[in-house]
Amino acid sequence: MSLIRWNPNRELGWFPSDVLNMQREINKMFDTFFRGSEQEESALLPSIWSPATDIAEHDNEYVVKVELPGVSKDEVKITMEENVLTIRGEKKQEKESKNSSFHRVERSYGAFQRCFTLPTNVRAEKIDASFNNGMLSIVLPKSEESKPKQIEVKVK
Amino acid sequence: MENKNMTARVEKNGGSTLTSPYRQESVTVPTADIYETPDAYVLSLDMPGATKEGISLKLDKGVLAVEASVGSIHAESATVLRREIRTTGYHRAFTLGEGIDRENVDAKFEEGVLTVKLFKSPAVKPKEIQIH
Repeated sequence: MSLIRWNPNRELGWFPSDVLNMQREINKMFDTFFRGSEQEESALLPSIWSPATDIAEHDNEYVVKVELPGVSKDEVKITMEENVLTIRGEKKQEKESKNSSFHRVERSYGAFQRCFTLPTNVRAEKIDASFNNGMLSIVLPKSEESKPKQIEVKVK
Repeated sequence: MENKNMTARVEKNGGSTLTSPYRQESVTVPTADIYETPDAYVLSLDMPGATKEGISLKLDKGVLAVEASVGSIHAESATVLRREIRTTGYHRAFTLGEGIDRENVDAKFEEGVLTVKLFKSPAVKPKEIQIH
């Protein structure tokens, strides 16, 4: 059985809103007709995946959330250098036994790395990370000076 | 509210969930791996952000449907600087073939992955035949 990379568009069918996608598919159709199979070529390239990440700013901290389903906390390494936050790791494919065979592989596996430049006011020594339901949360507290302050000005 | 809408739409669609009006609402079709062992089919679905309590797994007329809603992952007061995670829920259905024991299904949710084990019915299990 040959493995073909999953393309959600193929499976989901057509959406009226996805005219661009449709155009791309038609272009691909012509391309493959005249030049042979494009699909096979691209399927041979190593798949690259980068987990979806959100960054939110709170009053006292920044919170980074990364979607990492099926990745255990030992497989992730988080580093902070200067003000660049790097999240790297590897998602391994687990299979129950040698006598099992795959029918469908859509989930992404392999190494990943994401880097984000953060504002300089993060207290690197206070960074905290936790895993919950396949979602990695990294809390980066802001330094005292940068927290919003309210100064009362007396009017004389 | 959100959830009610979703069920209503599923019914209207007659359960055909992959051609979906959900996309605009960011209900994600979770990616799935399926593998076969000698005694079962194992289905793994990536559903980060879902909770065990928030997942509904139903087997009806040979269709296995998974549905989950995911709440907002950021506090309301926060300013979102980068947004790549757009999932508000998950929905996917699988049609089961013959030879699956409908009464014997096992499911667990760990690290954001839903694993469903569908045991084969005894009739289709490989059997060693004794030679006399």
